[in-house]
Amino acid sequence: MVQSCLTQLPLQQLTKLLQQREISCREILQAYLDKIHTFNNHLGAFLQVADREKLLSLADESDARWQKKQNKSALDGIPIAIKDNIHVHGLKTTCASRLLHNYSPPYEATCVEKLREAGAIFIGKTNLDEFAMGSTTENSATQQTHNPWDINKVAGGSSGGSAVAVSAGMSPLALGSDTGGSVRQPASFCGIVGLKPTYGYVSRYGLVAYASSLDQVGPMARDVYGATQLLNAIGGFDERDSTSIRSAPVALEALQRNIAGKKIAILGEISNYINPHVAKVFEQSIESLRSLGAEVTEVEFPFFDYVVAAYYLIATAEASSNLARYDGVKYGQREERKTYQEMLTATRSQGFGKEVKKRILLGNFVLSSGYYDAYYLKAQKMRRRICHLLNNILHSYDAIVTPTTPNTAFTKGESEQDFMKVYVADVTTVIANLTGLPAVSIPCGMVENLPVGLQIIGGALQEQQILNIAYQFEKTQQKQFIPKLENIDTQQQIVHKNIATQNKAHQSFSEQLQQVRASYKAQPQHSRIYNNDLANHVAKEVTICGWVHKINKLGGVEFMIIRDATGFAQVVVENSSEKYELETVVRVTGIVAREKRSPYGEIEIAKPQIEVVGHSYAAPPLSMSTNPEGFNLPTVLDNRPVSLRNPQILSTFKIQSLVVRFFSGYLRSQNFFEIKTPKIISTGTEGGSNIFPLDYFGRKVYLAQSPQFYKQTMVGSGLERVFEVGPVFRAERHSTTRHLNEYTSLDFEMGFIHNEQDVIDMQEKLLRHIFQNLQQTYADYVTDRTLDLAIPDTIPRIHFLEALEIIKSRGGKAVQQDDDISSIGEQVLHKYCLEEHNSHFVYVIGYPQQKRPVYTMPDERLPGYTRSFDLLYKGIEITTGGQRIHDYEMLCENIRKGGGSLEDVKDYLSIFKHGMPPHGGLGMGLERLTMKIMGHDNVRHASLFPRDIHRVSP
Amino acid sequence: MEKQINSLIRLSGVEIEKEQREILQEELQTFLHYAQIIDKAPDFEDDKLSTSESFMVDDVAVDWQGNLLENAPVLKESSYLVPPQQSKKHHEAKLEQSKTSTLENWEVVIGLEVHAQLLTKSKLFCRCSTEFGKTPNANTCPVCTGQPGALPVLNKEAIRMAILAGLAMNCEINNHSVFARKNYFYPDSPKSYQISQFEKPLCSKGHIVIENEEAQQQQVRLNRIHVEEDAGKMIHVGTPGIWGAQASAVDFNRTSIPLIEIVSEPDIQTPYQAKEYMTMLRTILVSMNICDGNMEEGSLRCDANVSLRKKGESELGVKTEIKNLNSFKAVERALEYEIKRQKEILDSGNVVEQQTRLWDDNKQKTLIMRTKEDSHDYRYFPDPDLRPVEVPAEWVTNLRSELPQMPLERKEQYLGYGLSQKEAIYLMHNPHYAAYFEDIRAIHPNAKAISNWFFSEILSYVNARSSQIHITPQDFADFLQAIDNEEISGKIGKQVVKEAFMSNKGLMQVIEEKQLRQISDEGAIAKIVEEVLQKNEQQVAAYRGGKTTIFGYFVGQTMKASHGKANPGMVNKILREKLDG
Repeated sequence: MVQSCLTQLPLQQLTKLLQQREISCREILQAYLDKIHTFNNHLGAFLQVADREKLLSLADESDARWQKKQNKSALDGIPIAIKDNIHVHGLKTTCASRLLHNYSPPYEATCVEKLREAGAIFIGKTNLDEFAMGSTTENSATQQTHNPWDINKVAGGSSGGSAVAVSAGMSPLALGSDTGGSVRQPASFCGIVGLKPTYGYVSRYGLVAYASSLDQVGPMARDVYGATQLLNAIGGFDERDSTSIRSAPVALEALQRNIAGKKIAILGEISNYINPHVAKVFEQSIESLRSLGAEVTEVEFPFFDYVVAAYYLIATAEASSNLARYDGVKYGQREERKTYQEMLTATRSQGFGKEVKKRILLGNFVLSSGYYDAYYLKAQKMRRRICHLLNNILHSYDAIVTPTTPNTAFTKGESEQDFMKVYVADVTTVIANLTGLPAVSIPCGMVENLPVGLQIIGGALQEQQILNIAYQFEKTQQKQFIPKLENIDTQQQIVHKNIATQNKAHQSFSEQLQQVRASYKAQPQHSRIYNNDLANHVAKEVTICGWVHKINKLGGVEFMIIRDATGFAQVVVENSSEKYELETVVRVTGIVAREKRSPYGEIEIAKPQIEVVGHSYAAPPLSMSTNPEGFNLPTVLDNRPVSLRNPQILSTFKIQSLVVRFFSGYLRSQNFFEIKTPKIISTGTEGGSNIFPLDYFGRKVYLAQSPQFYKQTMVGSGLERVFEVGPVFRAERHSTTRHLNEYTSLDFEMGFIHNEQDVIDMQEKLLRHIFQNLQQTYADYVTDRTLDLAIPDTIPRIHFLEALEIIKSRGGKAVQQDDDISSIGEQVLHKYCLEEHNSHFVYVIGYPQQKRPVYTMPDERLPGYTRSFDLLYKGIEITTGGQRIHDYEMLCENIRKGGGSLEDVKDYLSIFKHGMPPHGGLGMGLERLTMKIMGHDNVRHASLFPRDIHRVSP
Repeated sequence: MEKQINSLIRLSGVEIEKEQREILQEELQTFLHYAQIIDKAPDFEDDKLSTSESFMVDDVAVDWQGNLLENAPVLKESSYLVPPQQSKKHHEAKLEQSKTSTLENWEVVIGLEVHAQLLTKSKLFCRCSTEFGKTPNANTCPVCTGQPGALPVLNKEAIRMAILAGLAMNCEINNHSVFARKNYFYPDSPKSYQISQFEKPLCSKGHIVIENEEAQQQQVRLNRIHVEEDAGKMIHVGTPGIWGAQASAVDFNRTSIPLIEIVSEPDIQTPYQAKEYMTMLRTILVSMNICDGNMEEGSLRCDANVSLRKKGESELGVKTEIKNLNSFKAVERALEYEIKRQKEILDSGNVVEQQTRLWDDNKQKTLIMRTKEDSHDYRYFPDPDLRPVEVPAEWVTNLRSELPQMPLERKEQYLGYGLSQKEAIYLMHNPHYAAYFEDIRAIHPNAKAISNWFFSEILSYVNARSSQIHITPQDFADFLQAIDNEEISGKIGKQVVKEAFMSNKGLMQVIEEKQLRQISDEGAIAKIVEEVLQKNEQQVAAYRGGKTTIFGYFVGQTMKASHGKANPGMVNKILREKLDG
């Protein structure tokens, strides 16, 4: 048996061959696995395929049973694909949702258990609309599924993966679930048979609930026989599902019965909803039924308008409650947050896709107080009405037939634009769910190379009746519905070629290696230009690179805004067929044109060729084109890797980079050497408890809280003047808008000073350099605001005691308990200096000795006070510095007085023992400085990846 | 619209982006349109779908592999403890206080919502064991941990017990009741909804009778009794509550254990009555073996609604709801506190705010938990996973015949035996002791003798040393018979009881082993008397010389010589014969 033919066989023929031992289960399995291997990449039917070796060994066990005629059932050894919202032991159940992407169910669904007992082999899990919400499978958070008849069309949904698996010959049988048509509609779109049994016929235990009163597991197969066999294997009462019912299996011989004399109803009003081409095929089907002897009569059913209304009110209401359990507590992808409520909201907001979220919100609306009666209760009442009417019809008729869907498969993306079209398209299928009646879809013809389905609805538990009609109808069909996969074959050849090349490469690299080496020299010149340089290239063809920032549609034209490090460019795309997810990374080649209406420098790129160089697989969680002031800070920080892409957020870090550039530049011009000192140290520089311990090969070491000792060492080494830009760590349990536990310190230290005033002089000049340079350049980087970069000619310098007086006189809470200026005091001081000196800066000099480290030079003129200082900028301390003790004896004395041990700091002391110039220096907090320059209210805004007492990631 | 969407977002626990908000607005309009379409449908008589038979399973506990658990819980030992009866003295003091308490012209209105855990072996909707005190999450399965795709199946025994409770409390049993989902997010609720009964409870109306401060019988009406599942238990690190805890863990062992919620009408007027009502409920439930009544373990929990109104007014005042009442004392204290608090507010001319408050047992005060503004929208709707509960009339009839005697009737019966008020009340509230008492009485009909020994001797050891009485009714009756037969004296009897409890032996066993039966053999006693008289010739001479007052000396010596076992009556008789004769 040729394997490609094997995968085209309906189950009836497959089982016949198996029974006659003309083929083995292993051969069957291999044929389907090969099909999956070849086509799944292109069709996206399977989310997960079970381990090949394990499957083969199961097939061998089945073969052994068949050999001994001890096969467990007709399905022993038959591969079955399972929709990924039904639990199978050993496979994940993801529901195609981010939230459950890693969920391994602790139990197996009853219907799967039954199939396992029947010897069936679970080949893999198939794609679906997330949590079965949708009718195109486009709502899958994991992957796209394509219709094998035309890969530009959707597979239908939500059981799209299962339908494609059967249609494309990747599995002879599949299970789907049907809440509003999710088995029948994709079956119809893909040209296979799909059955939704009577509500309760198949246990729902282990089917992830969407809308409990509508959900039903259903079989999918190429032929009616296959669907029947599968139904018989999964049906029956289950005491784990209170809503399941007792039923008898469908007798296979009953399928053979003549249907002459059967009374079949068609619903008159349905024609309003049906596409005329589909209607034509439907007419032909009715003729076929008549030719089989059935009496087909039109009956009234003026309730279609109400069907979709009642369905959506009920389905969303139940869904909102069923999906409430995904709160991140027990399973699923949890987003860690500080409180339950925050964790819950973040987990659900990021875990669910937009369709799911929308239905949850709508459902809660339907159930919320004040609306419940008008929506939910009314819909339930209407549902009972529709049940009553349909049951009445089915008292007089054996079945009702309709087209399964009003249209053939939608074009991809269509549902996004016109969701109402997709909703209304459910009208034909949802009647069976609302009423709980069984309904089967069977291929009945083609419209423009796409299959059309015929739906047969029967009375409750009349599965045998409708399958009998379907079986007889199936026999009248001239052709088999098997999609030609040749159009996919072209792509497939590429895949094959790649594999071939790879194999060859394993044998010998020599030829390829030659090519690789040649490419080093022949590398094409990169002619990419930046967006801010486009004005210099008007009327020329250029290549720009960047991220798709925004897409504006105007008429038939798309304006694609490309963002790069320097700014934006507008690209005009006409007649685009491609759809780009925001943040897709592209390389665009086109003509630079002047266009007055372009908001981006009155320039745009016309006639573009767009090449995707980096795919974006999902819309980003935060908008890049929104003003970030609307975001709350935790959200921004939680999504830091992505939120940084927002140009307004990123601009802070461009400015931060400039600050460092000007800082270093100026100091270099003043003969400072840049140094790098270690951040793992054996003792704390300044003592105290605010130091992070660290395990270092079993020893306790610390993260440096300052480069102080090393800076001084390097002054003593003969470099005289040194600076460092590096991290410092403070284990202080602050939770304020000013504190970080890791920040960047801009440090310098200089020798041969007279006193602290020399250090202050140096910093004043340095700051003036930084601020003036920023003033000239910042507009290139910050476009949404004006920065206040005023710096006075002289920064006021006041003594600590004077500062306290000022604060007291202005009513501020001057000191904290331990003799320091409080943060309120700092703000009072800021106000004072602004009013009196027109300065945002102020130096406070001469802090008390007990507030400063032991190495601080005492002020001999004011005993108890030191030659140290703080620089306050806009009411916040951004620098601490001062003159240091350089005399060995004096330092030893001071350490002893402070209760310290000389032994502990003997390495440090050795600098002084052998001659040290008078020196001083300071450290400046980069983040605080940036925060104040940018006008942020929280230092975290100015830290790329802030580390505070709560946050160590991202 | 914006406000509505924000409230939906809060209810749903999902944030959406701006663009999605616009889409949502459109779709809400569509839903409005749907509702209008349905409204426009020609009116019709609502079809009641034929209700299918409800599906319930037997109360069988299994482990996660499906193995039967035989040792699922029945009545716990500790339930023999917790004698709820207070001393008479306290009772009177209370009475005094309630008379003198200055309510002035305010009238108190109290309604209680009592949750009682049912003593089923397995949970309400799955077959997990309900055993208390297991390792966290040992008694869980896919159903009670809310795994995707798991479904509830109703435990028939829970419905049986709930009907019994309803019958005992004079309720109407509804032959058609419905389980509904109560939707709210909380970590201890694994499905994020509780399955409860809302519009159609199992039992409606009803009443129980209590005795109020004046020892008058008073009827408290019930609004309903419904069945629901319990929530899990949170374990917080760092704080007693979830707010500010460093970490919290959830134990789902308690999740889905069946509860009945008994909702009273606002017929209770004083904290004392509230406590009496709770006590009476507990007694009824315990006497039917459907709840162990253990408030410390949370088998019985109470929320109270309380409001004040001017005397003579018919409209109810604004109420507060008090939660966390974990003992009878807490019920009374919390209500006293809350009444005082409300009165102070009202007296100062302010209005009481509608609030839910929490009783803090350590601080002995109620603290605010949430105000009316934060009240939940539970979005109740019938649970589509469960069929309506159909209770056949025959089942109710059968259960009615199983009902035990109600507490106050029993109390009357005990008074009829000649027991004191205190004793009768004690037995009324301790149905298991009452049953024990009756078992003894069936063998030994002297109720007074039983109660004397039971209350003054047996109970003192039960409470002090053990939670359970190991003495069988037969043993107890035999013991009483031995006393009646004067085979042992009252004094020896007390020693026997003590010894029995110390050694965990039967009463008669102690008597036999220690040979404590009285000597009533005349010959044997005469022999001892002879010996005593021989040893005390001088005293005999003195007696016979007219110093008859020393007769008691001979009695004492004889008793001593017989190691206290001689029958004192016979000793007297024989001594008189020998000395006087």
